[in-house]
Amino acid sequence: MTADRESRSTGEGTETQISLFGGSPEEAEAGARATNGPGADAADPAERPAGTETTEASGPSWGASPDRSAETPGPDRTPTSPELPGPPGSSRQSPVSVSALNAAARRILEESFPSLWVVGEVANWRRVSSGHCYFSLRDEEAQISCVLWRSDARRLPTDPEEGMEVLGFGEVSLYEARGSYQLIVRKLEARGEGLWRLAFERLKRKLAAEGLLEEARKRPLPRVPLRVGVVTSRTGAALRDVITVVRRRAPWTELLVSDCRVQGEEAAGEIVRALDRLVRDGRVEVIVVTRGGGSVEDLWCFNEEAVARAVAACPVPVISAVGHEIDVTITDLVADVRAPTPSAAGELVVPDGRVLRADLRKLGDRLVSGLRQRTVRGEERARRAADRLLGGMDRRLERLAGRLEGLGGRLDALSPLGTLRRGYAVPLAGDGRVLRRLADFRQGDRFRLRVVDGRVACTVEGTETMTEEETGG
Amino acid sequence: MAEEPSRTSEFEAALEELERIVARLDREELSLDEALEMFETGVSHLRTASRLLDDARGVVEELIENASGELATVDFDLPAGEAADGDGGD
Repeated sequence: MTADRESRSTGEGTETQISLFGGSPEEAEAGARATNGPGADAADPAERPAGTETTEASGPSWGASPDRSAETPGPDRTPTSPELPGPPGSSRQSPVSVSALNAAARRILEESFPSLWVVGEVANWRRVSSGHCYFSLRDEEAQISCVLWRSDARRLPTDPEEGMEVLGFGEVSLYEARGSYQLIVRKLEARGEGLWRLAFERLKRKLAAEGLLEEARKRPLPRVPLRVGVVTSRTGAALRDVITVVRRRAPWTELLVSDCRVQGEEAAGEIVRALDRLVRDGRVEVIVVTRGGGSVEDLWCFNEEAVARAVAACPVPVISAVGHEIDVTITDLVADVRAPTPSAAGELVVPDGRVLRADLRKLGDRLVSGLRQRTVRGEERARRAADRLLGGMDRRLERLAGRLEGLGGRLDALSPLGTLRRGYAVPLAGDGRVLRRLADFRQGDRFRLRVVDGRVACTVEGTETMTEEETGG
Repeated sequence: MAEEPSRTSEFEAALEELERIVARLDREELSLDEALEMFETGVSHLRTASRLLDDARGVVEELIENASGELATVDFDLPAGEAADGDGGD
């Protein structure tokens, strides 16, 4: 970019062939206006007439006259014949016009200086409505007026601040309409990344003031997205990284690529459109906006306002992964989640399939164990209820109940009446006392048997002793 | 935006239901009938989630727009691809 700028500008210095001896004053004036631009309302340089390359070896100068070096024009040397006026300006009879003087001075300046880099501080920066920028470069002792045409100014990430030290590359020239000497700047850079940093901070402040960077705006990502959108260059390494990682972790995931350039002047617009396509399509549940590493300039599109706003307005959560870990862009700040690299975005956007399937298995296991615990608890509840119901049941009966629990998992164990429902009955004397031992029964005694749904009137027909083994200890 | 409920939301709904049921079975005092019913629902959610993963196609496609602004989805092949050989996961 710089190279073609520089070569173009070396041609421009001589584009308008103004000869003090040949061209009419009107031509010279028109050429001067068109080339130099009259100031705030200057035409875009692109509209300037195409340069006609001059091959004149000596270049335009006062020195068209071969004897000028030997002679100093003066009154005493003024040619006396009006037919022979001598070199322009050398006599009252052949004065030069101001236009011609300025044109010649401009030509000398332009031809004497190559395109060059100038360092200085920016002063009185003005960007006028036409897009051209006017300012001065200065140091402690001197200053020079500068102009940066719209087509070159467009490449600036942002306007420099007053007093900022910058490097300007361009050509020395002269603005003929005012006779002022100036630098036509083609490229303007701050020392280091100053201008990029400044542009970044300015946009960051602006978006922050609108609340677009707030944590509260960040949306959670879907845990298991089945369809993921990727906004990036279809040929980039970043896309390959994302695909590789997503395939490895969650091979079921469908990826929908929305292609765009990710560097250069067209990139911002293409990124916005690529995002918009995915939004209109409406199928993806999360979008990864990514590109691999590069220079600050390469990554710049991700610091452009249009991209930041499109990401902020995206109805689907966005993961931003631009450049390497150290590169933080405005898009990263606006996105719901920032990943340090494209591969990391792949890791963040989908879960690890092995973990996910293991989690599903674990949930299945817990489902089973939950049900099992539930039935155990049910038995405990039944036992407590039975205790209450049956009052002073002795330890032996409790042990019996304990054994019931051991039967485990029986549905009827869960009811407080489960014990009775299973067929156990409790003999009660007339006064409600539990008849526990053989000795409590005598032939002919009447007692009641408490069963699950009522009482049974009974009479003892006879009794029979059992051994310890038979009673179960 | 999407007209039909996405398969993702179906998956996540199944997963969330499943987690909710497991938590309730762990914590709450339920009648056995309730517990059994939950267990069965849980098993069906588990099946749904597994099926969704198994059914997903896992392809890479490109979303393009024609001159009249209509969107179309076409197959996408990686330009130079060692990346496309997914190993089928676990």
